[in-house]
Amino acid sequence: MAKSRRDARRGAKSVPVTTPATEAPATDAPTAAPPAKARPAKPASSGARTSPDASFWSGFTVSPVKLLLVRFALFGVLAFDAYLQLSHAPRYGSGFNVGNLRLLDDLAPGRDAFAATELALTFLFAAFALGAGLRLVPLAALLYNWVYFSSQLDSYQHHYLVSLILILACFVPWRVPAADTGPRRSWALRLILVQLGVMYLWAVIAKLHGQWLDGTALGQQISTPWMRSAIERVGWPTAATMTVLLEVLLAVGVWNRRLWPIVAPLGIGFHVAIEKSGLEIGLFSYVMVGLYLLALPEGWLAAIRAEDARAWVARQAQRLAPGTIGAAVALGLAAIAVALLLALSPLVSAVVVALAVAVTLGGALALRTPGRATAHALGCALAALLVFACGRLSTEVPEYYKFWAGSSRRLGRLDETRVAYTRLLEVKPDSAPAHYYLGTYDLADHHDDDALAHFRAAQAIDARDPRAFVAEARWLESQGKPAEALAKAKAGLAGRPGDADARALVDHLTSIAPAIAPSPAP
Amino acid sequence: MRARSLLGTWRGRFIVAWLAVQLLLPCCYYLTRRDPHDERFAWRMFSPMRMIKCDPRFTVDGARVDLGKRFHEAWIELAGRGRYSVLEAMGARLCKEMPGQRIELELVCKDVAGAQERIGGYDICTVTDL
Repeated sequence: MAKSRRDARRGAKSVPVTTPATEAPATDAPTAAPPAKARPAKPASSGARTSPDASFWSGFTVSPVKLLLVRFALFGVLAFDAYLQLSHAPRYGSGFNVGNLRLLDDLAPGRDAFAATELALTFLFAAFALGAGLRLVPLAALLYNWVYFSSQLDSYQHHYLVSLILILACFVPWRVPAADTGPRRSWALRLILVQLGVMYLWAVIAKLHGQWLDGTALGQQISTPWMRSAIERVGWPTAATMTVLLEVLLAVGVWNRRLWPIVAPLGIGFHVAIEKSGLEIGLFSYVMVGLYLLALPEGWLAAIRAEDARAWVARQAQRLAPGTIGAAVALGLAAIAVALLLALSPLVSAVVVALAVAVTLGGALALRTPGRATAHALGCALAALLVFACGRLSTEVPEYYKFWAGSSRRLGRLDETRVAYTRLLEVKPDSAPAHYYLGTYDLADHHDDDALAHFRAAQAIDARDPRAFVAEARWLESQGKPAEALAKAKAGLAGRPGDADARALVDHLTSIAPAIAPSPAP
Repeated sequence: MRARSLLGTWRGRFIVAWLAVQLLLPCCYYLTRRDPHDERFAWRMFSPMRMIKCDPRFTVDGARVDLGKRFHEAWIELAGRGRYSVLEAMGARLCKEMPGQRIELELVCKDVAGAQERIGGYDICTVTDL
């Protein structure tokens, strides 16, 4: 009974449509979408279904192929974006916080919770991109909004946009059944486009300022040489004014289907140009390009027959793993992927928390929907492997430990610093700074042999960094070996002739033992 | 009539509320926000204000506080954008850690044209808002 009620509700929300004439203006339907399967049109149950205002929202339709493209691109970018946040984790939990919403000041995540959340989001977004676990979009939205609104440490304006888009994404019928070839109706997708329009509108208002319109602000923000020289040909004020005019057009056109043939290429080109401008804006441009796929004219996508591709994948999956055996195999693959991740990932604590949450929920979903268990499990397995591959191939994990160690050191948290540098060496054995700092801590603890081993490792890795040479030279001097100390100090100075510490030490050692050797000119 | 039909469903009410918030929230920046450097929620990407560089100086009995030893550099960077809420929270933290002392905050900001502005210069423990 409950199930039938649920199904009935789902039928009312996730709306494959037959585009009845009463529901959508002719201009608002995908023109090149394949013909919808014959289904009885739903009777208009209220004035909201038939009024122009309501149909502007509820009559908005997109073809399945566009929905799949947007889903793959948007969530795929968000998966990478979440993963790239890992190196920002050491900012969190430093004992000081100011929330984007001040009532969340005390509820911001610490370093581990932040890392775990971003890993969980990476996993979830990757799964959504692959069509698995789509019922968990609200969970991802909740996690994302919690992290964003609880701390001003996240200063990216596009993360505010993503937090809003994710809330709206909870109402989008992302799942496209293989048998369903008709256009999909979604007021939430229309609202996402209108939201972009609102964003552009306010961006225009912000730029109606003398320092923008005269090109000063633009000139200071563009750093790419070829782009600077290109803009200089038309003039900075002209380029600044054209930016404003373009944003006006995008504000009006991004949600207006009739303007899409103009707005989509302009918008995508605009954000690609922003990406190439050298601004430090994370993956903002890619997020926007993903969203602009929504504004691609349907006719441009007519050549892509999503149902053919999906049917082929479904046939292969059935051949590979029919029925419940298939689900078991796929779940096994997911378990292996997760086990690999747990065994080999350096961010163990964060990974354990993130995957425990993700796998538990993913498994529950798979069991709850046996018909799609294989798809869910395969999607989860692929997503877990993606997270694993990111961890092994990217520099995010070493960066995480490097930033953690650096900030702990500056804040005087010695124990944390040691742990972070030790972990950094586990994932990046050729980190000269890690060897140097661990050497200084070992020396302070009178573990001289360990300290020397670290100093020499640092010297071998980066002979241009004089710090490890200077540290060993000072130790040699303390051991009553001024000649060796001077030689070591000189080696450090040779790596960076302008280094003040090395210079001073060489001068000092030369002055106390002038017979050893004259110091080289810096 | 049209508005009433839109408001007749929860989706319609949600859409209207969403758009109202999104259209009105940025107005706060222009009408009521006391901190011009704080452009959050106002969709002011790449604005001239974003380019402002500030030097926040906390002093205790005339001696400058080394913020790097007390706050993560990410917060110092935000303070360097002149964001009042962060500076005031930093001040509150310092006042709590050093009770009874006079802790002054002076913020010197330069905009893209090089114009300089000085803010504060008083005991942040007594007057907690910039």
